[in-house]
Amino acid sequence: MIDLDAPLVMLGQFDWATWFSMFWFMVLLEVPRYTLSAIAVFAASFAKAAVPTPAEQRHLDGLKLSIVIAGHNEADAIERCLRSLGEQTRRIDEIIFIDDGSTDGMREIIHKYRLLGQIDIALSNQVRSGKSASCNLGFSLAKGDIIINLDADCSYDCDAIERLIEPFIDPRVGATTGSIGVRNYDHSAVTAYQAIEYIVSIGMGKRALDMLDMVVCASGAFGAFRREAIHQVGLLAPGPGEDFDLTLRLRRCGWKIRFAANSWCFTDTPATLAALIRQRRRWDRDTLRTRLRKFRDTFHARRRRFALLETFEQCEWLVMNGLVTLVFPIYVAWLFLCFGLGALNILIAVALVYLVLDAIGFLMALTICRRYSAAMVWTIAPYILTFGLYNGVFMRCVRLHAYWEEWIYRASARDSYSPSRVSHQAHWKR
Amino acid sequence: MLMGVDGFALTPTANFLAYPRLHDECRFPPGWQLVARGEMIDALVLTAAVPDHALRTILAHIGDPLVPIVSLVPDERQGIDAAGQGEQFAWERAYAIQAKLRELPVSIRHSAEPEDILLARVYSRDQGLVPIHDPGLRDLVRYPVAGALDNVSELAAGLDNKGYLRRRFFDRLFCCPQCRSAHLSVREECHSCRSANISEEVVVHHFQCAHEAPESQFRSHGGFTCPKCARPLRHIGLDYDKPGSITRCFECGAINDKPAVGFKCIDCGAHHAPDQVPARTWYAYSLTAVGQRRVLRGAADESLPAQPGLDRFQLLLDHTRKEQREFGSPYQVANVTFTNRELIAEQDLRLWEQSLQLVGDTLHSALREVDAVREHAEGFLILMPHTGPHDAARALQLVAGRIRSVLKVDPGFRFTLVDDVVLEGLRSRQG
Repeated sequence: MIDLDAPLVMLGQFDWATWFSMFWFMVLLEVPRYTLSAIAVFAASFAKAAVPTPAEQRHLDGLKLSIVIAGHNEADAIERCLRSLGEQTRRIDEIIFIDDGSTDGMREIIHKYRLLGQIDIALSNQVRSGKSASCNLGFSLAKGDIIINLDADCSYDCDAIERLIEPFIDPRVGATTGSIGVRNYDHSAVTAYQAIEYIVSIGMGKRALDMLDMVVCASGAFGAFRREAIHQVGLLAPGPGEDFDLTLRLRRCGWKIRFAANSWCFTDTPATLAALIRQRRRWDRDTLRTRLRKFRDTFHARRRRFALLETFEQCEWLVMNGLVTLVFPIYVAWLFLCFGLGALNILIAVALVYLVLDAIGFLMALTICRRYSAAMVWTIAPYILTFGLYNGVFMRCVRLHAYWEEWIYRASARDSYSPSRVSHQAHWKR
Repeated sequence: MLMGVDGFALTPTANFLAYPRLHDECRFPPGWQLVARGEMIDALVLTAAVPDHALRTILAHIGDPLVPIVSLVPDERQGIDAAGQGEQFAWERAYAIQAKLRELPVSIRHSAEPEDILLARVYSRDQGLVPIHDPGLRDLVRYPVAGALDNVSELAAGLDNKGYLRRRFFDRLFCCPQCRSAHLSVREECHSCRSANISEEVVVHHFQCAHEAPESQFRSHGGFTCPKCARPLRHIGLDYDKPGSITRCFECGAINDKPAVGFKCIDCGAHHAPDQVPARTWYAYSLTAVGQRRVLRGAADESLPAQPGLDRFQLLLDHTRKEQREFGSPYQVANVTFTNRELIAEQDLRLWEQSLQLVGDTLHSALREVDAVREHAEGFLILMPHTGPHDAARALQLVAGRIRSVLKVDPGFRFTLVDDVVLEGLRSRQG
């Protein structure tokens, strides 16, 4: 049996040198990355938010907005999505819905809403083409200056679109993305963990990246693009991970990507562990493929459009995600090798430290966002106690597995996210 | 010259009027003679193509709506009993009609009532009241046998209700809700501006770069080249596919998946959405045994059993009144109206027609077998024998609930129990 007081006693007995030797992983890799950035964001959040000047507001008002929503078998979600779009404070000039070969009656539903005047263009693919192709069809037909790409299964705050396009005051901004919250946080423990994860990563992580001009993903579920910018880079590439890929290409072409923190979208996250693992494996595989295969030349200092910030961002990811994920099992093994069962005490001690850090981070994120209801906070707060295990152990294992299957087997090319006839041609016949 | 018409004898001799004139070399069959001044005309023989107004004048002069009209030259106009099938056929046809007309009693033969005239014409022409399509008419349908009568379909429907005619389906035609013309152009058009200036274009999906756009963007030098990645597209199914199509409007630039369907009236130029266009059902009619007796006896035969088409409501009402008089048995007649009728019909006429039909079905299923329902211009009349006013009101409230649960729209069901005076008023308005 493990004495539960032992880790606390042990933490109190360590001197600084021992502390560092025990917790170098956390001290060297994680504290600077997350804690320092969190403090910076927290401090910055007290600064007065910039309000568009009358001239800037006139410029924003003059922009034509097209919304493109492509979906496969999303018939049940359309009404809620359209209802929230109908409540927007900003005028929407055009809504384009693409049914990507659905079999659940989505086609009939979007035609019904077109007849009711709630959709301007309703198109259907008779056979499934994939998210990228469907969105590209919508992008190529959209007439707006700003093209907003949304998911049918999301709903939006009434000022979401207005806030999302505010950064386009700056003509260098090519894309923006907004905050995404979890709608079904009370469905299961899995959704509660994700709710905490989204709060911390959106409330702190993305804000920190925005401060450093390092936002690298304008989400396909909630992203706005300058028409000129996405046509310059050739719209979406075959998926999966097409939104991330598009954002990186925009950055390479010199466009800025901004995070509109006060623009809120809510979505349902995977409710079961199996679905969550499936989703995260796909995300992590796509990230690895896009970063280390497609954009590997970021590290080439002599490439034509070398940008130090891009290279730094890639390196940061490589160290803080790739390296941390790979080192974590080695660290655990090293602990057990050096300390035997005493390693458990060290890991529990680490978990306790994480618990404190997570709680602080969670509270800071809530304070910064000021968007979540008390009911939601009370529902998910108990899960903070074990969030460290979820995020630090479980998610790392999933990520490690995803990196393995992508690096060795190129699993993303076989992902069912795109139809096989499309992904085969897109990923194997290049 | 008249060929081969000398083989039948006629008794008695019939008078005919040849118009414009009988050619010198023209022979007419034995038994026929040119009508003398002051004599009754038994047949009008058109010997040449006659203008409409001239024909109208001569028919007005004759003053007999039943007189057979045959033409020795092809003539497709209304009321011509034989034309374009040879002179012999024309004479035979005129005689056969005249022979049938002679069977009619004076009260029918010289009646000025449109119903009597229609029945007599159907009987004398011996071929039923069969409609034909005529593109020259606004209705697109006419009844040649009916001659110069107006509102033939309404007359025939009335005779069908009385059991004198039996109807069978002929055709169902859409008509303009504005001018009632059936000259409608059904066309594919733009959802936004309703222009017919649209074209359909296939969408091409290039697998390798996920570009999906209208085919015109891919066309180059007789082949396909992806506008995004500049790769040639050679093999459908391997390089690319065509997952759908778009419809583009050349007037307003709107794009959509498939075109809308619209109706444009050729006569008044009005445009209508499909759900605003009412359909009119046309029937062919044949004379029933009751109708034949009515024609031959000159009056309704009371001894005949009621036919299915007879006015069941009226029969039951008469019977119920008799019961009340003799046994004091109460009965109620409810007038059902719909307050939202005009509103719904204005928004979607087809929906209202379907709703009304559904209301009729619901009434029939919800009421007792002894109750009778009749539709009238503003709603329904419901006859409830052996029923007091409270029971009737309760039953009708239940019916109203059922109607609300069955219908997609709220028709605004209202009912009032009416007395005989109001009932007669309603019936006279219907008449």
